[in-house]
Amino acid sequence: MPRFRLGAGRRGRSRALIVLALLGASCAEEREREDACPDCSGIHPAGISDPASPDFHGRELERRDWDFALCATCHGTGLDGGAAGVSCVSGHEEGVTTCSTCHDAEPATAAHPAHVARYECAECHAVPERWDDEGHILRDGHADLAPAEVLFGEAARRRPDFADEADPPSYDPDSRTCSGVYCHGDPLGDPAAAAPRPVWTGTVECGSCHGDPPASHAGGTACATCHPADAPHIDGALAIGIAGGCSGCHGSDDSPAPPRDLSGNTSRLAIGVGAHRGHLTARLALRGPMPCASCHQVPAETTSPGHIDSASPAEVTLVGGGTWDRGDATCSSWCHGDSQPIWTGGAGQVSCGTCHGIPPAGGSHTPDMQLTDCADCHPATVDAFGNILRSGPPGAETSEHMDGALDL
Amino acid sequence: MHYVSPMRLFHLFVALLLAAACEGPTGPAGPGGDPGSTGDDGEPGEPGDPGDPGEDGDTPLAPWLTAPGIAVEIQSARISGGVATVTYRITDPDGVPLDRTGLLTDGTVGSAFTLAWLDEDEDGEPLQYTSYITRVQTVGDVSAVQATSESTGAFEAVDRAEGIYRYTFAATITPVAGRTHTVGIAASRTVGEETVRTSAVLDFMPDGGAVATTREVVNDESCSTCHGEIEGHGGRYTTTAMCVTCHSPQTIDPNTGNTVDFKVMIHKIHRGASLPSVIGGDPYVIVGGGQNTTTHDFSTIHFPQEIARCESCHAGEQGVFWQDAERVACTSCHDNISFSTPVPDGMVLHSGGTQPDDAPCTVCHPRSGSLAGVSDVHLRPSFDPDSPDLAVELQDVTSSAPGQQPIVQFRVTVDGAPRNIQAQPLTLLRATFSGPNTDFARYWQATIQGGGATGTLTPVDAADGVFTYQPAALQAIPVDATGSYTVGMEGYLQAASDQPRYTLVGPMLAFAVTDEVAVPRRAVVDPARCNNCHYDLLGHGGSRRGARACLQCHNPNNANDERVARLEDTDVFVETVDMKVMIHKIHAGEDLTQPYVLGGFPPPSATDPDGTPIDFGETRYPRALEDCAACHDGDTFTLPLADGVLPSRHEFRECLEDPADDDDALCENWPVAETMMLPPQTAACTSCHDAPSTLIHAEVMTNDDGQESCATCHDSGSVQDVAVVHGL
Repeated sequence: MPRFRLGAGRRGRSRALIVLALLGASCAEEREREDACPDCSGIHPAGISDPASPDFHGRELERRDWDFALCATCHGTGLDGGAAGVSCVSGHEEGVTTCSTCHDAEPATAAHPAHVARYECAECHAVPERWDDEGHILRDGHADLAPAEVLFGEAARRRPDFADEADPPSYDPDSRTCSGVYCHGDPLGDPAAAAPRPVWTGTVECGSCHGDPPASHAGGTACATCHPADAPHIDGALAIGIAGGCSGCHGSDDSPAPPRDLSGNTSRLAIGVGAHRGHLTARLALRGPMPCASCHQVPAETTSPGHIDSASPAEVTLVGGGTWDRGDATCSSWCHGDSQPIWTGGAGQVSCGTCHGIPPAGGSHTPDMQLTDCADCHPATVDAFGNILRSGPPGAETSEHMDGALDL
Repeated sequence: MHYVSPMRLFHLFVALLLAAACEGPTGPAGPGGDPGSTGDDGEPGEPGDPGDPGEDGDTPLAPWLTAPGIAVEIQSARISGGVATVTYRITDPDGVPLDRTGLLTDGTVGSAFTLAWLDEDEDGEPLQYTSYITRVQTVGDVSAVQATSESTGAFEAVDRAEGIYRYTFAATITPVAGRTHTVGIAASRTVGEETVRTSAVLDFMPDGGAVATTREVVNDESCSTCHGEIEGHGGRYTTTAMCVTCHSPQTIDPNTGNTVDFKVMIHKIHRGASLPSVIGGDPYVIVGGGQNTTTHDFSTIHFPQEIARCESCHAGEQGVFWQDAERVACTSCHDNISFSTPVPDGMVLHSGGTQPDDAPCTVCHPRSGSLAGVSDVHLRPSFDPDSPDLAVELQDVTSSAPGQQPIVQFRVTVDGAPRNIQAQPLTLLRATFSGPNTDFARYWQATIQGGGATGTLTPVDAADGVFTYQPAALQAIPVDATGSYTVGMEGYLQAASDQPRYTLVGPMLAFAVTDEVAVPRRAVVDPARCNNCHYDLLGHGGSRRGARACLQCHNPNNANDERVARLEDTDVFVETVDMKVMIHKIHAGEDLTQPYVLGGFPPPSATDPDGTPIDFGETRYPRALEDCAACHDGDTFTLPLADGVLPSRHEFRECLEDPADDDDALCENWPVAETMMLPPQTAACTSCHDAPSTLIHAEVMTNDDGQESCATCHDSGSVQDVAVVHGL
């Protein structure tokens, strides 16, 4: 189709009259102008100015492959009146071929507002520089009927490293449905997702793209525990916390062990924090640091079985036997001998004499034994002052004390 | 020669003074006279030109009346953009606003400000303050950082009529986020010659949020039980909440190298003379006053109760923190303990060997339990709630006429349960009789149970712990006794000589000798007030408990002759141990101008004729000495004293023994060469005011019959009312 040029006024008046008589189709279905054309029904059909009419001039132009030159034969090369003395630009002040003649810069129909708030228009379809760019409303010289061809951009094509890349993103104009788009979680393959292939005219909510919680997650824990509100979302990366990794949900940069716990607590008075660090650092120097696995499973990955697929708190399984009573926050284990220290009670829960007597009852012990006597029979465990002996580099000390074996 | 009598000279002197007064400087202008009568109307003048419009302005304030003194309240504080501001209100003690500049109200108000942040641990428990306002003090080659206050910032009046002002700190403050901040103000106001100081603090968050963490390991109430009003740095700081903002680990005394961190400094000050380091010969000294000349030697301080009763000071939200072992706190009292080797001279290695840090402290020293739980090892029988509570209730005295052997009925309980003391005797139970009750002039004792027991113990209801005791004939009521007398008891349980004594609080009961009805001795001091500082007053090695019973023996006729040093070739002035003299002098201590040395226990002997002299001139009373009401009941410290109060006996003894008579140096022949009876009001007043000039004043105002005229000037309502001159 030749480009319309204002000022193409060579055509005859009779032709113009015919054209004007035929004009009547809507220019685009997306836009209905309130500033209606002047009364042109004397020459054109009655619906020439009615966007709802099949005779609306926009529709007629579309049927005529947007031949604006035909309009100009009567309305002048600038469509500003011409022989007809009726100006088109009186109703299209910015010109008849500007974007706003047919639609708003940010269309308000269907899911447009939700998308334009986050994505560029080009993420889903071509954005013409001019009205008559190929593929916009003209294709091969003929009017290219709406809707626009959906062409997915980078956002829809993203694939998290754990997601299936088999199905490329696509749009079904019949059902008006997107599929395979990362934006709506289809590639995540979460069976708990309610609508990972959304309808353009529908709505989405938490749980549409992925389950609430996802099928891989146990229920009962607030999403924000691991996915805080200020973390990136739908950005192609699995966001755990802010920094990612174990400490995104618990622990800190120094250690994945609380504090912080899953509820954000940092005080040892919180059961999720308790004596985690005390065990890991062995700050009382009664033995070497205890590995996490001494008390509970340590996942190799976030999604390892037994980690986030079961509701918090972690299942406590004490190596070497023993029980954990969460209600009382106490342990009964070989580690602490006869005592049941309170997990949240602080360092004072464990001291010399809490796990065994000073001296212990029975065996070769006698009540008059002093702390300085311990080394006589347990020389690899305590020094002459009764201090627990440890060896090894800082943070990896070992000791014969509280190691499950009796040093004699 | 013409002699003029002293009285004539006095009259002449007064006349000269009166004459001189007539030629004094010009006095102030007198008040204006009455208005004159209204004159006739004048001629109307020409209208003047309109004046320029004046500027809008507030209604000017006029001066207003206030009382002396000052109160201050911090209303708000904030830190924004590196600028810290504090808004505060200053008033007189009645709440009347003050003008800071002193233009509208009497006296300018000086102000200095502190600002510090409070660190906390991972559990949100408070740690130490760090001040934003610091200075560097240099002494010789040594420099040290010290927290301090500032007053060089900008003041502005927010509402002068309401006494509200704002101070902007001169220092640029970069606040520590998420931490409690505390701002303090030390304010002073001088009206006439009197300067009154006070202080206040406010906890706040720089972002305006709610304060979650505060620090209160000791509180003002516990300090005030001994110290009365807290007056740090000459009275500038009146609350411990302000002390701790500067007395933090960041502040060092460069003269001595000692930290003035509150927990270290306060522990050392209060343990004073008992610090192992002081006993070892190193005085505990802090140099204050900006490293000028103010040297404070705390090495002579004796804590007036068991130093181990940490709860005497530790109270408040984190009062229990004293049970959390950490080396710096522990070694502030136990300052000869070394945690590293080689052990410095004068110190000993920690019994648990070297320790690299504080983390393992709780292994052996948790709050309680283990090898040496902190609260366990600081527990003493005198305040152990599990200690047996022995009590005797005196119920009746019969057969109490002159010459009779009195029969005393009493009931014994232990922990509230009756005790059959015939089946389960006490280690010691002794009765003390004293009288007359107008003022005790004599006393005698009879032991009921224990070594040297005499008399007759008879059960009345043994199962209920009720018995009577009748002393032997030698302890009968004197035949010349009149009026009413008093019986008291002392006693204790003690499993062995090296075991604790559990002593009863000495009860007293008045009984009639010749009176119709028994009249008790006057009560001057409330024993509970003694216990404000002394917690649970014990005397004489713990065998006597409670202050009231002390009066029976420490009466006006009792001098210290039994225990004062008795050296051959030495004449001795024997001080009275009359309570009204002794107790004043003991507490006046370092403020006395004359020495006050009493013999203690053990008394002089052939092997030690010096005995156990105790110099009370070292006593450092912890509050204002003129606060008589700290000990006295009601107005019992005012004059005149009650009728019948006796003069206090002092003795001058002369040793007549020839040193060659035996091999020891104990004087065994030392008769009284002179007895001096100090009139009662003189004795009471000069026990504190012991300067010779005061004694002469009192003597001049006493006639040869011992009649004192003290009340003429010092009676209630008189020009030198005792209460008024003591500021009460």
